[in-house]
Amino acid sequence: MSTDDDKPVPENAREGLTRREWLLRLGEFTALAGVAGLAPPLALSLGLTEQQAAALPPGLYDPSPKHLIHALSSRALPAIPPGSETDYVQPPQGPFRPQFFSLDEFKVVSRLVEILLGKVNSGALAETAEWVDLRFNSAAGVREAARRLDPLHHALAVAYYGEAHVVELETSDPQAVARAGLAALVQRAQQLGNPFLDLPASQQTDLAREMSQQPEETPLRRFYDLLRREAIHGYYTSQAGLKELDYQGNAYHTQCPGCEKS
Amino acid sequence: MPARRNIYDVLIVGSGASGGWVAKEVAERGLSVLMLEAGPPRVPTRDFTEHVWPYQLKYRGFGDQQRLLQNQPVQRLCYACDEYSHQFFVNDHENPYTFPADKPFMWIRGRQVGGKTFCWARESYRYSDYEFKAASRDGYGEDWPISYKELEPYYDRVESFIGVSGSREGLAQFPDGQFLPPMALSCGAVQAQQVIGQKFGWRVMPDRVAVLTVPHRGRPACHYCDECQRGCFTASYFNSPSVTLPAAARTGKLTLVSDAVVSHVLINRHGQAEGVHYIDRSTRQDREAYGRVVVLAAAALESTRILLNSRSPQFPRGVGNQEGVLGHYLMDHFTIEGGGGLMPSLASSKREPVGRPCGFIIPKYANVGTNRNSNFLRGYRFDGDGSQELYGHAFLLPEFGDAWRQKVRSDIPYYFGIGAQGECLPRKDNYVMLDPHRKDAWGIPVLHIVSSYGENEHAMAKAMRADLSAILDEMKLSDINPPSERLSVFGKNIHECGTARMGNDPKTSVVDRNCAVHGVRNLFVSDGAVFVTQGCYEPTLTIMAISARVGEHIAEASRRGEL
Repeated sequence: MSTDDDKPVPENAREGLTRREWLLRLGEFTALAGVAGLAPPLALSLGLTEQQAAALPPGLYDPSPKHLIHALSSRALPAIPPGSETDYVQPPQGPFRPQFFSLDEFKVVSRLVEILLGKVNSGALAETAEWVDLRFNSAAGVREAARRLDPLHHALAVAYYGEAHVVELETSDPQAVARAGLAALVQRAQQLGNPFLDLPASQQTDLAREMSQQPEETPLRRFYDLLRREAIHGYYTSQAGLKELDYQGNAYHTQCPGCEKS
Repeated sequence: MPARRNIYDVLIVGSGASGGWVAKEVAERGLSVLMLEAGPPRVPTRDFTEHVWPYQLKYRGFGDQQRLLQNQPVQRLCYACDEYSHQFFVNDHENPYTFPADKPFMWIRGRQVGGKTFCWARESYRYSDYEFKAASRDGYGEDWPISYKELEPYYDRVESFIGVSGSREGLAQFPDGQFLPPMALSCGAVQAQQVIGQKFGWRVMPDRVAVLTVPHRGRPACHYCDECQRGCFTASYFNSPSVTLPAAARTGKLTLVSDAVVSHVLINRHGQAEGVHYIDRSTRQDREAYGRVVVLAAAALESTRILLNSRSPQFPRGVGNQEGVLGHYLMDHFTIEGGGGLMPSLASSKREPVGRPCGFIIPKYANVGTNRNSNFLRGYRFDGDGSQELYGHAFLLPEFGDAWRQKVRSDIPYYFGIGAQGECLPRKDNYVMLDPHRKDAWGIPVLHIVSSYGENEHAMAKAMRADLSAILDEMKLSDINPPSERLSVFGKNIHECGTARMGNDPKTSVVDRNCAVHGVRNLFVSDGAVFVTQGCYEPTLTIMAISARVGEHIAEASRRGEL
């Protein structure tokens, strides 16, 4: 899916603009974002600071026009700054290979995610399935790290979250849930005469619904619940998902958002 | 021949809200300043993540939980220490502390140029004589040696410089200030204002926050992206690296040394401070720095730790600890959280703009004026907000597929949440001391922290819950979540104050009314350590006002040759 918002900012816009160049660019960016009336107050205030912009010691900073470029071009993947401690998504180095699921399992998982989400664009669907794989893959390490908390940190976690939450973190095993659920799904599909992926689409959907209606502690239901939870997180944090929700945040508002009904 | 000592007029330890104000005040009056900061400088283009989208992060904003558990098992408990902002919080293994297992303390720390001001919650409230003179009012504890009248001009100075938005309300227990226009209220808050005002007579108003609603002193107004804790390229909220420290630096009088972990104050044979000993964070080399005046502004517990660790023949238990008061009277607000529910009348199919970096507050009303509550001393305040769900309702809506997604998109619930924050009484049995067995990554003894809430806090919590429940009922919410039965963990609200408190009597306090350590006239503490009480409001604005006053006092006293 491509929109005007996806349009990357020219590389040379990120660094080294003079104030005049920046003000000229500002017009382009405000047009791009459809935000009117942005330039004058900002140009005024930023202009003042730029004139003052004497060298400051490391760690100190002045308001910067770079924020605008970030705000208005933020749909593009950022260039990862050297030394950053942030886990940015890395550009793909070839076709995706699942880390937890086998290739065959991943095809089943991808199809289930497709059934859960319905008609979404293929990029968002693939992204969501990859997210599901990441979450299941990282679950064992999280559990292990929780179990290895030293006694004081464990006591603090219990005081903060409550005992039940901490026990859940230390004992939950999404990987085992996935394996058991997939095995049960294979078995159930065989009862219907074909591997899951070879069943007609309507039968696959019926089977997903059947999973959702199983008693809570059964393998199919537990797997379904985890898969649905991660599919929701994955999709609604994707670009397509947020656009579908019409999310109005992480934006440049010229007025303080408030109640228009008052 | 030994190298000649470079002696600065003022040596400041810490570069956050407090250190920034002391530096600005003394540098602008012509004094040379050396500022030592334990952490590294932050680079906005590298370290800020203010406009990053979840899909641009590997873990979609949920964070690498394994790494957080391993490296930041304490810091991860803070809402702001997430995948976007964990870099602003310390590594807990390098910076350990201890506590009795049955009295957990949550110590949230930010070591970098700017300290915690990158990710503070920006709420900025003046204290009144309900706080400064609380003991005179109800007989518990000690008064501050200063009054609201004395601090008022410094509140004015701080607010006018950093920019605080808020509404003028004319309440004696909640003094008005030099405000920029207030933020707008959400629809949920507008309804709360009407319902709560009418039924209970309590005032609902926008939070007073150090966020610019109009351009101010060369900084543009907020653009309402609502992710302040990720850094702010526009410097539209107060943090010291973009507001007070540049002002100090532009005088040409400020020398800033980062990655300098201060272990103790150097005391000369006359019992006066002459500098500090520090360790280079990266090379682990020992170093010394010198000042005619030393100011500790490292955050309450760090400043007290430095004092406790400054042991010498004159001060065998730490400087300022002649009477055994240093380390005691630790406070942190407690909160009752989790109250809320859905507002059916605000359910909608249309998305509203989001990004307002503030909610609403209901100032303290218990034990105010003629209102006296016989069950507890002091008081509490409420805060909360209303907002549309983003996709939380997707989990609860049954089914799946296109029709389900359509419902997620068009049936948008509106959630209203409210919590309470109460005053913690200063008690001697809440204290910090040096742990005799444990050192940090730089070989400095760590703190052992002993804290618990007492009878007064528990009695107050009962009243808070009752009032919260009455509000939730009156708001006619559906799917109500009752307020939590538990008090928040001590330290959770990151308002730790006290442990080197201010007072006229050296037997019951650590610093005097000018924040100089009793008996060491050129050693000052300017942060939350000096608080005598903390009311139920956020301490940072008061820390800044005190720091401005300390800076002015140092400059004036230096000019008169008294230091």
